[in-house]
Amino acid sequence: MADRRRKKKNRALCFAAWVALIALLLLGGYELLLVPEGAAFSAQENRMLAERPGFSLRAFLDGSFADGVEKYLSDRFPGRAGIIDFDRAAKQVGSFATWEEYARVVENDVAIMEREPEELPDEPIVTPRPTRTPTPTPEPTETPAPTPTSEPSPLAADASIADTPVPSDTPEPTQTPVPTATPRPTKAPVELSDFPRELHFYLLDGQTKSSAQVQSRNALYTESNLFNAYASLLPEGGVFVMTIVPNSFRASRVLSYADPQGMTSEIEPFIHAVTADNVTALSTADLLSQPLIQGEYVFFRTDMHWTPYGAYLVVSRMLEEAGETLPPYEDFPKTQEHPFLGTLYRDSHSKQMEDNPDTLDILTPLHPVRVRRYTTPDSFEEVPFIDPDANPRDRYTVYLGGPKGNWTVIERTDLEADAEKKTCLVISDSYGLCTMPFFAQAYDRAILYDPRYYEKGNMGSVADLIESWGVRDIYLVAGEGNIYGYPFYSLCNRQF
Amino acid sequence: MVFSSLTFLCLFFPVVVGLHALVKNITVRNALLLAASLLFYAWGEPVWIVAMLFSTAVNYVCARIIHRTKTPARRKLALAVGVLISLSALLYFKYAAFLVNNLCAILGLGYRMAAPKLPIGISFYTFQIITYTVDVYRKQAPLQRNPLWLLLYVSLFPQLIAGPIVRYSDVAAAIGDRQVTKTALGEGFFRFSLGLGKKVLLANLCGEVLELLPAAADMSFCSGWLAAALFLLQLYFDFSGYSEMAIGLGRMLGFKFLENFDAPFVSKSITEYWRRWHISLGTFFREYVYIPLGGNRVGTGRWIFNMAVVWGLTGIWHGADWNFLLWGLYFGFFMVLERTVLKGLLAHTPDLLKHLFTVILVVVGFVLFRTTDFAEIGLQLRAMFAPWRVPFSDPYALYVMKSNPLLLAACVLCSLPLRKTAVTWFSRRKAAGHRNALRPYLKALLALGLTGLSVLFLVGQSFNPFLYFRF
Repeated sequence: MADRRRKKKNRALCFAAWVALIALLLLGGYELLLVPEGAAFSAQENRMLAERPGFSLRAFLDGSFADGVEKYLSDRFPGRAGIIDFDRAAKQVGSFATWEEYARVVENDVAIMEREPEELPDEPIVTPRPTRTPTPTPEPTETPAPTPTSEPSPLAADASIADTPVPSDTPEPTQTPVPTATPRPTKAPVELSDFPRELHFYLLDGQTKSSAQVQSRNALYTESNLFNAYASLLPEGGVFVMTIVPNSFRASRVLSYADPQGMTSEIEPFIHAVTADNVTALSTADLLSQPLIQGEYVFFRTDMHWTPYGAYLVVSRMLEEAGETLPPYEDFPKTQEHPFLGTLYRDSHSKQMEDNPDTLDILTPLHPVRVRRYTTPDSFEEVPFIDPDANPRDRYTVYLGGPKGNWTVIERTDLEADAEKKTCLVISDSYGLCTMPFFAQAYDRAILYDPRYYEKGNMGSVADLIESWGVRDIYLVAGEGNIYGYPFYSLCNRQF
Repeated sequence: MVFSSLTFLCLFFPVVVGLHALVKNITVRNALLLAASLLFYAWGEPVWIVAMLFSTAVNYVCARIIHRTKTPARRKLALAVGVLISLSALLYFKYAAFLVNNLCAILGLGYRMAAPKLPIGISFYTFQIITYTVDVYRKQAPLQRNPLWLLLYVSLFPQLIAGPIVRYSDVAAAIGDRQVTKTALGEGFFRFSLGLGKKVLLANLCGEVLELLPAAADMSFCSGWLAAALFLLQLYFDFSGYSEMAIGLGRMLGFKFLENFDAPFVSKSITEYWRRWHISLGTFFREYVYIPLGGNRVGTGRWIFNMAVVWGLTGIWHGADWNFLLWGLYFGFFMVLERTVLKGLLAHTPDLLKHLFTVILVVVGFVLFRTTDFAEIGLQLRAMFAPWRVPFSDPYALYVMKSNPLLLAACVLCSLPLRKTAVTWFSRRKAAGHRNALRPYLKALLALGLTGLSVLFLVGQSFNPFLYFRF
């Protein structure tokens, strides 16, 4: 009897062991044999997934093959997206921390606020450019203004150094000319040594400011070069306008302050001051500060992005640089999605957010448009401007079905086929999605280019496309997460 | 390769364990296991496999000389050569930079030696190979005539890179012949899944949470204690989980390794704590250092010296830095106190207080282990013991406590001797006439559940370091 029981027990455990061994082996085999080779982008993680590593003796000896296999297995694991969601949700089980507590810890600015209060400067840091049209933005701030000389600026010449790390004590880095970039005059030649060591994007609480992001001298220098290179491709009268969009978490931080004063950035004003005359850098932080603290709905509460209304305010200001205007926000054909629970909710499952959902305005341009997503310069697929079947886990992607594809062209269909079309290029990440109704309204043809998805092998150089599509103006609108935490500019530079 | 990697779990583990179970011939089994072990070691860091091969070859030759020769002096010489060559490799890779740099600092020389890359598992396999040669010398272990099977003992993948330190005499018979029964396969898998769960579901998550706490300079009283406790828990689940996986794998492959941890946090003294924590290391130092030095059968002064040597070595074995030495001596100091000055007092102290005293001493001790920077150690100890000089709490500590109550509760629960309690409970039920019919199914379900959940977490989290990987 006892013998039979022991056998039964052994059978159950042994069965479990074999089930696990076979299941694990099947998973491993599936990954190695059935997952298609080649690159794949994970929108969920905002990065390229690992590719199957090639074997070589050298790679085996230096350990890179082993690392590659592990990364590959992890990245291509069946059902990975669901597993990551499960992992995140599982870690929240039992948590009774509030969203604010999470935010304070994750954003890591508590210590800065409490321990290193910094008085706001009495004087503005950047000297405003007198030649520019006055703007409704707060006075830009800045570092010592670059000294004007008659020499041409090295910044005007080249974009290809955007990824090249430049030691801070090396005033003249090696530069490789970009063939298509014709230098345009800048108002002031600027050496690397003229750049400040670092500039910040601040959140303001009364007399205290806490640094939310920092940009180093080298980064400022290389991105200024990049913008000049883009601007140099434009026809006479064309403008390059850029802005960095804070993520919506900043808004909730600012609004949680006892004495909220908004946000301010030293970065865009500085870039504006040192780049070519047809390059404009606007600070979304400054533009949206007042609307934000006045309670206007410019950032989502449950999603990391800005609202279409926030985008409208900034895009209107950007378009002014090109002499374009937009109709009032209310005039755009609009539907609404409510309740809208965005990415922050998806990652946190916060009860507070669930009880206080957002509303997503879904806008279209006033005129009819068609959207073509190009996979090569000659082949494309038609996609809807508003995709009602967009990812149900991220409804913000109703605009164009999300940030994907190489080159997405939104074109008016009510114009004659051979009419010359006023064209703009919008270099952007997901923050650009809800700007597209406005750019598509202001231009006959608006092209969306997201460097994270762009395949240069299929499409060729972006500089060539800018010329072949007759782009008049370029806008760069990207979220702070991609600008400071992702090689966004580096991708732009490589694809240029 | 580490056990908690997908490469191991999805490819190496099922193939090797499956093939090993299917093959019946012992020579083929050993050959398969040796090849698998060398691949396991070489995966990711193949170059320093040479150091392991060299150390094994030297000790193989020395052991043969010891076995063959009858002259005591020649036997001793062969033993000394084998041990010294093994130790000199460890000394070079692990301690040379530390010694040279400290010597240069004392002499005022500007030279700094860069630390060579430490071969994985060198501390473990060096001690294992030493036990072989010493045991052959003491005639406590049989001579292994086949160099490949000796290499199999040294490189046996379940215990190769993070122990437990297995004495040759404990596995000699299994290398010669072993059976893989259904019971062994099932029980081994059960132990493996428990260890995997400890590592992936507890240690890794403790590590992630620990990352959220502020640096030592910014610690409040609460975060100071929380960081110390979380680090200790992370280390415990990391290392004991790895040991448990090794024991489980060993069982699945027909070996029986001794336990390496036995619920150390239930200890009521530091002495007891060290009988329950990293048992194989404690056994090694007791058998091969402490007892040869005279153990406690000497005068008090000499005994204290012996303790200092053993605990100094225990500390420095964990890492080549002063903090590790201090950490070892710290525990040695309290053990000496427990057996001398505090002996009478402890005999009359309630168990609860003794337990509390031990846990606090251990938590504080591991603050010394966490970082090699004495300034940081000082700052954390200040936060823990001078609450009037730091804030009582901070948002980080508060957040960690509020957002991870289940993790903290699970850690406390799993650091208790749960498995032993469950076994006792089932045995009592059985003795009382109950059939315990569900027990095997519960175990199977738990094993499958923990393995599945661990794989999901491994995919979902990139944070997967092994703290003992480099020791």
